[in-house]
Amino acid sequence: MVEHDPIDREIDALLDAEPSPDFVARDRAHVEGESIAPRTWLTGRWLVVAAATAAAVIIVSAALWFDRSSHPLVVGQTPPQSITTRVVESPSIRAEISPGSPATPPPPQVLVSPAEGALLQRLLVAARDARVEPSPNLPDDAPLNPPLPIVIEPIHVEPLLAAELEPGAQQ
Amino acid sequence: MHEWTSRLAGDFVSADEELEREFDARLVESSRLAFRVAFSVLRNREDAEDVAQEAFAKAHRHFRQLRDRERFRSWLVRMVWRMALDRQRGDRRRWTREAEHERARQLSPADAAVADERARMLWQAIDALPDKLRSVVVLASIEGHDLAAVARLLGIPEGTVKSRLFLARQRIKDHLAWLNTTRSIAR
Repeated sequence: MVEHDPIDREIDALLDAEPSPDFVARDRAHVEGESIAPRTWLTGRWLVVAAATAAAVIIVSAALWFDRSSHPLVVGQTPPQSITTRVVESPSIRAEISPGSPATPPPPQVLVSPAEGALLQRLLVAARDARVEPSPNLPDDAPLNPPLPIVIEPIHVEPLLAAELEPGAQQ
Repeated sequence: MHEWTSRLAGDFVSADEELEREFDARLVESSRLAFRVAFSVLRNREDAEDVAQEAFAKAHRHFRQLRDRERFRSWLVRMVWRMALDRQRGDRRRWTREAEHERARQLSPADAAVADERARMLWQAIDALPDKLRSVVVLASIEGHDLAAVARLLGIPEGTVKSRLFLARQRIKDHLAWLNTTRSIAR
């Protein structure tokens, strides 16, 4: 509050006007048909946050794309995972894993004799424990043995006898 | 799922209803303020009510951003003031000084003439003020000379309101004195 000046009373008298009694009711009726505007999400702070998120996503995507394109996959190269799977899998394990998948062709079997397998295992264990030298360094002046001659023995194919075939047999 | 969507829809409806109730409360408490601000510029009851009504319609559309009471009143005053000035500028010819005529009807013809003349001079002195001083004088009168309330409405420090009010009164008095002098010289 402030001390009143004589001029204030005159101004108060000038501005002493009241609205009509139905003024509020008319205002209510006027705004009744309109609805309050919904919250705008793409304004102000939200717009900045959305733009920053979009920029971050674009940058990460571009970085991933460049990284992938610098290490191309060689066509025809078999992924190492499948090789391992083929070597390790045995028919019994395969049967357990996929008993009801007849459509999948069976992987080729690696036939290793039990003796060779055991020897290979022992060699790997010895190499791991440093009991054997996996790549011994040979001296440079060591004499090289002459290569062994390649002997190709002739293959003899015995002709089939026509008389031994049964009549009507299909070849 | 259906229950969840129904509950969500119900929440939205109740939030809108609450917002409408809140706006209605603001309308009731601020209607007199809006009308008097418009009247202080237009000096015509009908025009002042029209402007206040337009301002409320606009406030209703943007009410989500104006829920805070003080912000709402301050925004409303600024908007009504601007809209009233626009109407005054655009419709000067039709502009009638209703306040002066009403006062004149309650007095004897001689007194009414004197009062009418005094009111005309006072309005003239107020109109001659720059907007910054004029708004302070008008709002101080409307808000019962509560300078803190005027400061909140205008978004300026109370000290600034006080100094502007002092300056405005001084200019009004000077203007009235000058009008009296020119009138006596004319006689």
